[in-house]
Amino acid sequence: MVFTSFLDLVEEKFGYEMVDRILLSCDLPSKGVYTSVGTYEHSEMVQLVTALSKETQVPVSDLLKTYGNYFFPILSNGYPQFITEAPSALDLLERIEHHIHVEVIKLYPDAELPRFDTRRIDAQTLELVYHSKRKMADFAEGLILSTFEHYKEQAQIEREDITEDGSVVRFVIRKA
Amino acid sequence: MSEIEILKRRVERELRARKEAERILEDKAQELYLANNSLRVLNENLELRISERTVDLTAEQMRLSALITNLDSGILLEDERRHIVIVNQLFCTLFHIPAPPQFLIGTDCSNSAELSKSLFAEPDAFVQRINEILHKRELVLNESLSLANGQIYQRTFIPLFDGQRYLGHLWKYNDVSEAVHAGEELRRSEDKYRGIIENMELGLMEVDNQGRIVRPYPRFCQMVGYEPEELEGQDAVEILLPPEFISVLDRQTEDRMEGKAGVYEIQLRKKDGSLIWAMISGAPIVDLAGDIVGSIGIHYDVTRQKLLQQELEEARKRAEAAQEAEKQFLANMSHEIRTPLNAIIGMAHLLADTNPTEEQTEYLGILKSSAEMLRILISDVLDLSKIRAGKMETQAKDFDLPDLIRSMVKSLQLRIEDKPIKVLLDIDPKIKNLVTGDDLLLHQIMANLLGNAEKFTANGEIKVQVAQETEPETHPLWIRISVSDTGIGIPPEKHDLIFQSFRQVDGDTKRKFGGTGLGLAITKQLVDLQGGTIELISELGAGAQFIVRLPYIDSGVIPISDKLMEAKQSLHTHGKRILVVEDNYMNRKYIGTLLRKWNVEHEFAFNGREAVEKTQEWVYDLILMDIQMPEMDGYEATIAIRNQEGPNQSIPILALTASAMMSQKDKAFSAGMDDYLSKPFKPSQLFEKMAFYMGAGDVSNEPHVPEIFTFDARLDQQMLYALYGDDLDYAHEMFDMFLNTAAVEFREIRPKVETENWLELARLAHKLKPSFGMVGLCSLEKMMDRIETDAKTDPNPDALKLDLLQAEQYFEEGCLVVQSELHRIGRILKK
Repeated sequence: MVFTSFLDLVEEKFGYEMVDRILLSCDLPSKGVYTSVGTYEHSEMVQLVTALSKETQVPVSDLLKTYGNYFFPILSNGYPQFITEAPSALDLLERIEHHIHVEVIKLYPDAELPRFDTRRIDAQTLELVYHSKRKMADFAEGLILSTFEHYKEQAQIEREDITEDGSVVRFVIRKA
Repeated sequence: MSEIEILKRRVERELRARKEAERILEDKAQELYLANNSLRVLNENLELRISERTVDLTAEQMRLSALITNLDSGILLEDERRHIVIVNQLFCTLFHIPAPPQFLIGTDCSNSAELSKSLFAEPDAFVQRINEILHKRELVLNESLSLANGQIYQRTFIPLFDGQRYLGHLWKYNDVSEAVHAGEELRRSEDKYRGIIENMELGLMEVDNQGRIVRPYPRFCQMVGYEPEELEGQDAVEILLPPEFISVLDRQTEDRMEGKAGVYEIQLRKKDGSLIWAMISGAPIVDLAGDIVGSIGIHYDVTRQKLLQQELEEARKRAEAAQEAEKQFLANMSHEIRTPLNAIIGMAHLLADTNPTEEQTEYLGILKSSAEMLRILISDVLDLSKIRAGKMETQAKDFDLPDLIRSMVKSLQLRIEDKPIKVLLDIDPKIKNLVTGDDLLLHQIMANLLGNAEKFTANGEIKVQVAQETEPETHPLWIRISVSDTGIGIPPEKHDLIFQSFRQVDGDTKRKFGGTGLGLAITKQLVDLQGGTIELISELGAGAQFIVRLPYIDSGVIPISDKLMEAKQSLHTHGKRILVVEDNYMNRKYIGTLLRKWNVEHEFAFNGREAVEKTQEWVYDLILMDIQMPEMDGYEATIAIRNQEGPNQSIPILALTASAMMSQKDKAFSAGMDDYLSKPFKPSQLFEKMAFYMGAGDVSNEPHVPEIFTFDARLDQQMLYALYGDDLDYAHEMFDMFLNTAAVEFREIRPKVETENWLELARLAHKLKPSFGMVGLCSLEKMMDRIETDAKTDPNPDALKLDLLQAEQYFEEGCLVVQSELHRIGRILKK
């Protein structure tokens, strides 16, 4: 679903020609044939995003943020029960690790998911630490922003890279 | 073109994506089917297990239910919503519920407390408590509830949890009315008896097995001055017991643990620190299960009794001390009185030897007899005090009992020859051997009995009978001695009295006959001392008979006269030296005069030290040793002499004691002295002792007794007196003739017996018979008579030989006595 959605976003923003171009420019084991029910190598996503950034002269981080932003409605439409169970954006973020990801693993036993450690600093402030070898903290940031948009809430997000390679990133999210 | 190619590639991609998706979905469906299948199998297994468990559970529930139903308690089990799970009939009965219990299962109990509250004495409190219990959900055990009708229920509440989850609870009710009422009944009864005991001034206290006070009762608290609260829970030993009684209490506690009761006396410490004596009766307390749970002590304050007891004890000690002082006084008095008395008597004897005038002789007689009476009085008093002090001991030695009696009776005859009184003596011939016993005590007994008979008999006769009551060589050998008189007699009601000290028949008797009244009391005690008996047969005015029975031992030895042996010894004992150790001038003078008179060489030492010094320089044959002397007393001197090497080391030492105490005599023996002579002593007593230890020097030195010539006691004194009276010349002639003729003829008897010439034997015996009578050898006279008769009538050679042997022995002894008497008479005649 991550791959199909990404290609849908590229087509929507840049047209199918761009989709065809990046698929051809990349050497993909899957030959660019993606279905929403399949699971694919992460390296393919990295190739696709990198190719898109080259074609469009837009930085990878911006592309990932935009993708995260775009991806939230897809998730909320596909799995509305997660949204309804959480009364606010911070609640939802808190539930990712122990509720949402648990269910995801049930549907996609092969899925490789990032880890989100959360800690409430106070009622309005949440610390969220992202752990993933994929280093897609930008995608996560996009998702976080779109979460607040969904709940029509305002938030201030501070981001701090704990490791240089971006595999561990700390977000301090303060609700306005 | 490029657009078409792009499109073509897009379609191709989408086609491939669709096929890929279908393949994935098919795989998923397959996976799902397999998963579903295994789920179904799991489900089936689970169902089977559940049904099995259900059967088990049902069975268990039925068992549980049956158990609960039949329990001896009312049981109600409710679930967490207070719906009835199980209830039993007893519960329904206790709460007056008419429905059968099985119909109640599932019923909601939320309102049940309200419905049954009217049963209880305090209905609202009952409901309130139920709600409180349900709210707290904590265990409640055996809570008592009073019912309006007086019954008493006991309630237990058990909340049921499965971990944190509340499952419901169990109510358990019991009707304990009977037990409670019975318990109360029992307590009332116990209280009643405790009350009674408390009112009897008995203090009760209960302690547990650890010795802690469980219940101090009021009277006990008063006794020890504490409030009950101060004692409760305290260690009884710690708070009440002085340390010296801990061991006493420990022993009692051990007994209690074994279920034994006991009575003991200890002191208790009161709150103010003072001590009381308590007599305690302790008993274990046993609970219904039969276990000992403590003990109860009934305390009685015996402090006053104890004090009284102590005072009595002190009084007793004082009395004993006084008695001891009295004894000591008497013993001392013996010394103080005997010493001068000894001198008086001794001097009187010496004075009589100084050719006094007739008048002086008469005065001397009075002086002597008065002094003698005084001596007897003192002896009586001292004897009694000795007996009372337990100082009188019996001594066992072999002696000739008939001889002793005979000589005493003869003395009596001589004393009363001027009175119209016949003296008779009958001695059982069975008594042949020496007997073993105390001759001194017998002498004293006989002296008292004879003296008594003499004192109370004005005319008539005094008869002495001696009989052997048991066969010879039996043990003990009982000798019966009877002394009877024809005197004034004693009324039967006074018989017991006369054996008591200081008692005479009446005051008149005392005035008329004098005496201390101690004689018979002493006699009885002396008889008792030897294990004998004394009895009195008498009527007033019909005379009196005293019968003494004494146990002796048959020594198996035929008597040989001591004096004969002395006489033999005396033949070769000349030139002996005596050391007289005496600090008292009078005594020195008395003894010195006697020794001079007997021609015995002697020297004086004035105290023990001097005596020791002299024995280092000179050789002596005998020491006469006073006991109480300055510087060194007789005991010390004796020990020193016995310990110094030299010729005097084993010299005979004769103690001259003034004290009659047996202990002093014992002390003398243990100091190494050989014998003792009790002061005051007569010249003859000293002479006898000297003769025994060193030979008398010579028979010619025997003390001269001028007033009345007394023949040797071994001869028939009465007969000799009757024959010769004062005519000593005649007696001398007859004695001389006997020794020259009869003594020779006697030797002819043996050949007659050996040749069995009975006729000649009878003739010879007949001829000899009066000759023996003439010198007072009565036993030989009788024997000759028997030999004569036997030889004439029934000559038995063996019996006659035995008789002859006996006669020969008597003859040998008798001749020596006759010879010595002949010498004595000769000496007197020479004067």
